[in-house]
Amino acid sequence: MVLFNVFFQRSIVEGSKLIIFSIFIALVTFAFTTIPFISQILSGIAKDKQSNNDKSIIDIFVKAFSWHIVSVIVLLLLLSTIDIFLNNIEENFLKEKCLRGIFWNAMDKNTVMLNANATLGEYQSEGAYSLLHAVYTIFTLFYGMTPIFVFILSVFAGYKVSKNNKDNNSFDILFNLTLYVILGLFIYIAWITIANIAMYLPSGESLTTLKNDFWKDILLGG
Amino acid sequence: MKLFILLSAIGLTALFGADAGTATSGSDFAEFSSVVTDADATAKNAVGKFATWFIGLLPLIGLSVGIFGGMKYLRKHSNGQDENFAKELGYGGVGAVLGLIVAMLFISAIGSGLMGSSKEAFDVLNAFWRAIFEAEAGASVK
Repeated sequence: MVLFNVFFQRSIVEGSKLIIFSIFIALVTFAFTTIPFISQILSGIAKDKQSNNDKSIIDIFVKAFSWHIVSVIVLLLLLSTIDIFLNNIEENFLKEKCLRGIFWNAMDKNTVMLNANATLGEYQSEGAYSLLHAVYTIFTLFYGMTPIFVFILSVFAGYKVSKNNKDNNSFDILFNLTLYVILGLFIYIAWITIANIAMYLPSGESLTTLKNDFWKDILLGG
Repeated sequence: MKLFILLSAIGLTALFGADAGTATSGSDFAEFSSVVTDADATAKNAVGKFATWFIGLLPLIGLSVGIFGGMKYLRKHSNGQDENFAKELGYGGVGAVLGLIVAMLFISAIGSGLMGSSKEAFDVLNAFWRAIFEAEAGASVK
């Protein structure tokens, strides 16, 4: 354990490396909070299509949410455990320093450099910050555009179900579309609320405020 | 074997080559950062334009769909007979009001879903039509 700490202290504490390490930790939290849920939904839909049985959509979502909750709990335990091991560097090193202090402050270059103890204008630090900025931009685009994808997928699912049920009445089709859109958005809210727990955003912020700010920025100019 | 050589070459380059550069200035990354910023701004601009036009035109879409829906409903229930103009106007008017209400509900839902408050979406709608009318007024004054 001492060797582990020595290795971490020597290799990470340097500014540019700390920024890169923060990106890695953020990508890990992203993977844990996104991939299990989406993969379960996609595999559930694929299996449903293959076997062609009338498997309930609720079964797929119950399984996906179970995986999502388990992966979030595993991630929380993982980060807390590693934080205990890295306690001699700083208390809550991964959660407070890497995620809250560096990654989620990516738009504020000075704060990032200060928190990472990196030098402004230095080749390595600037390179690390460029990568951080790029990854953060992709993150905001992803969380901003997710409701639109959910809406489109829900409309598509609602339309397909209406078509399969041979509902020729336009009111039935509209009712199904509205129902599926509401269901899709509820699932989205549940997913993002659970995911938010393990993302360790700065206090007063959440993935929902990230998405709200994204849309306010592009529609109202900030 | 080829894959092994390729991976070894990449590994060795990453191990020794990456750190062998003599560059000492951080400005080398300014171009990369500006590419990221520009791509982000372009994506946001494209999405923003589409969303603004969508929200701005939604009341008109609701109005049109409502009028045509009302007329269609009347025609369906008239069994092929010609209805008088007042009745067509009444059904079209009710359809228009319903279409407009549904459009407003959609705008509220978009606002609270995307920006956390339905008021924000109505601000976008307001700004969209204000920009159009102000541009129109400016053009007519000239």
